[in-house]
Amino acid sequence: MTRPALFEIRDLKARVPEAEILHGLSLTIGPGEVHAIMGPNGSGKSTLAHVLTGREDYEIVGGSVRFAGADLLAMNVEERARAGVFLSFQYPIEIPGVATAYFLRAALNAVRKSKGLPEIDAMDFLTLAKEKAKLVQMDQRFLSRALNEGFSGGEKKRNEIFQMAVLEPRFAILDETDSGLDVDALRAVSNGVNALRSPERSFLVITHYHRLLEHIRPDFVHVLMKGRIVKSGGPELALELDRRGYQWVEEELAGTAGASR
Amino acid sequence: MNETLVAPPASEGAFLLRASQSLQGALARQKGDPAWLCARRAQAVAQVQALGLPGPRAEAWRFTSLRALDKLAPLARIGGAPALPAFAPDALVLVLRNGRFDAQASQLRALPPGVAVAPLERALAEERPAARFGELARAEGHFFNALNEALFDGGVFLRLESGAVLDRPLQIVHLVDPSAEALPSAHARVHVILERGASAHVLERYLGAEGASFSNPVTELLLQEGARLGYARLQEEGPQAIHLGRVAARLERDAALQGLSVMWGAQLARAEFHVELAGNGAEASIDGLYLPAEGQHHDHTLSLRHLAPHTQSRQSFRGILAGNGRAVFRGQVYVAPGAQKIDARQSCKNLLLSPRAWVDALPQLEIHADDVKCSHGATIGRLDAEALHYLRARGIGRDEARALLTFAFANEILSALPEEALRSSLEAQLRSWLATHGKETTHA
Ligand SMILES: Nc1ncnc2c1ncn2[C@@H]1O[C@H](COP(=O)(O)OP(=O)(O)O)[C@@H](O)[C@H]1O
Ligand SMILES: [Mg+2]
Repeated sequence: MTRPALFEIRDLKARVPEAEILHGLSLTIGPGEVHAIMGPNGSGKSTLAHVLTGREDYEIVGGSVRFAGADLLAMNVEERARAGVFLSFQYPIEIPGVATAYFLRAALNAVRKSKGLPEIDAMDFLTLAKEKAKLVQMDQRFLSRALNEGFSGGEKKRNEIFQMAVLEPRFAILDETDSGLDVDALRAVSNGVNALRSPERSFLVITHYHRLLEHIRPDFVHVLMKGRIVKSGGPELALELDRRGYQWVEEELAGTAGASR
Repeated sequence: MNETLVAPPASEGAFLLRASQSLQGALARQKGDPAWLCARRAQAVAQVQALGLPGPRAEAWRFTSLRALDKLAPLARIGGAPALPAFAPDALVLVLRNGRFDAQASQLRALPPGVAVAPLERALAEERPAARFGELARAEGHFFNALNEALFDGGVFLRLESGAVLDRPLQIVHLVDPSAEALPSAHARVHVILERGASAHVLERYLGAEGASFSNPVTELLLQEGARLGYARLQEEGPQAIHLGRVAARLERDAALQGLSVMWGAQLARAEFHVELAGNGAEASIDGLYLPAEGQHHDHTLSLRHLAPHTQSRQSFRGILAGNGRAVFRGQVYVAPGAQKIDARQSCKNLLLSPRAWVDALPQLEIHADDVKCSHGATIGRLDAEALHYLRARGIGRDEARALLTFAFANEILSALPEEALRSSLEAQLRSWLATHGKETTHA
């Protein structure tokens, strides 16, 4: 018997004032599943990630998203995060003056509060944070430094996964977390993700490279092009895309479109 | 002084009327002042009378109106003096109550060798710093300096001999005490001399009460060759207070001044910094934070004068404005002819939490040399939308995210403070200010 979907995106359309970017995207993700999304630059991958996490720059013009049975699109940014949706940003920003540990404890306590759990105090938090920092091999000194300030690209990405490990979301989107990582950093990040895999937790991994998917093995691979999912398959699809690029998918699409006329 | 026994009507010219009454009192009194000081005071009185209160067209007061001075009237007495903060047993503390030395409340124990701290009146009689006194904050042509010189009735004298080190900060606490006078007014005078290679930290705190009051303090800082001074000035007077203060400093060869000015209080406050970089290699850095809320006006007016080559100055100011709060930042950098290899930086960033808040930020450069690195920038804005989104995307609610970012904005100034105790107490104060005023009201 199939379990009910954790995430159900139906015919999602989203736009910015200048143009529509997602033109009717559908995707269903079950609990414990890892889905990968690949696609050319500018196809709408980050837009999907932002729309799912409630960024206010995008207007939803059609479709629906259900998360664990609830209407996700009716929730604001922080409500989605508290419900367990997490985004590892493609471009994590620097926030001077806000210490990483201080910020992350505030975030964890906001999540805990929404679940009716007591706040975690500074001492217990530090113990937890140090343990999770080890998981992604992040230097503990980053905890007391301002969020991402002066961090290298790789350090910023590690910090995203570290935050994910502390917040333990039910659904995590990784938007090109592997881009710009060297081999060691890639392994550290992948280990962090794999340690969090569980039958209850699902992932949507956006990437350009098969390399990441050797570490984090996906159950399904999808191709996103021009605001739609145009092809889906198993892990072998990722290898093929990595080798052959996207041109052939486009040609195949043009072919079937022609044939169906 | 009997200036407050008569309650003048709150009308045009009331301030000047009251001032001249106290001036007559001061001249009549002349208690134990040495002869040179009596002469100086007489000159200062003549200056006050000749100059008159600066009007709205005076260049220095274009953005800050002095009209509130005339409306300053004694209210029914509200409460007493603010409580003194608790001091560590070994802290060096000098308390001035309405500008006068309070021996009971002060602690001046175990001074290191080569360090002299004394109430100013005693020092003026004994140490004879006459030659240097009033040299930096000149009374000639300056109404408020002249008023201070005519009326000061106490203050602090600090002298460090060559190479001396003051191991603890000297805390000068200025208390506005309405239980002593119905309309308290203070004209405190602080005189600091650091001889060659000496080093010290001085913290001036201005604490106020509920009712109306007027503070007109002058601080002179003389840093001789290679001397180093950390200087912080915290203005926390009451909501009806008017505070017009000046710090005048002169830095000789390789001297370094690290200054900070924080403004929380008063209805009308101005802090002026006049710094002369007079010797090769001198460095001055002045940071500031101002937080005017409803009904408050905070003004920082600075002039950094590069008179010698290879000198550096840095001004770094941040403001958070709530309600109809107003702020003025005027930072002048002057580079004298022939003063080459100058590095002068200035930045002033403002966060407006309400559409009714207003800030005038006016950098001003006057450069007469060609090998000069100068940068200045002023920004006026709201919280960074990207940062706000990032915090919310981790589950932090909108209001809490705003408070966090607002705190971070101001705390960039405070976190640079080397003294842990001072820093954490200012951080706590900032949090409580934000809890009251930190919510952004909708922009039109
Ligand atoms: N906030 C925005 N404002 C304007 N255009 C946007 C915005 N976000 C995305 N776009 C545009 O939408 C398209 C898809 O962008 P994006 O989702 O970032 O693609 P990907 O992540 O797949 O590279 C691009 O053409 C991009 O320029
Ligand atoms: Mg992208």
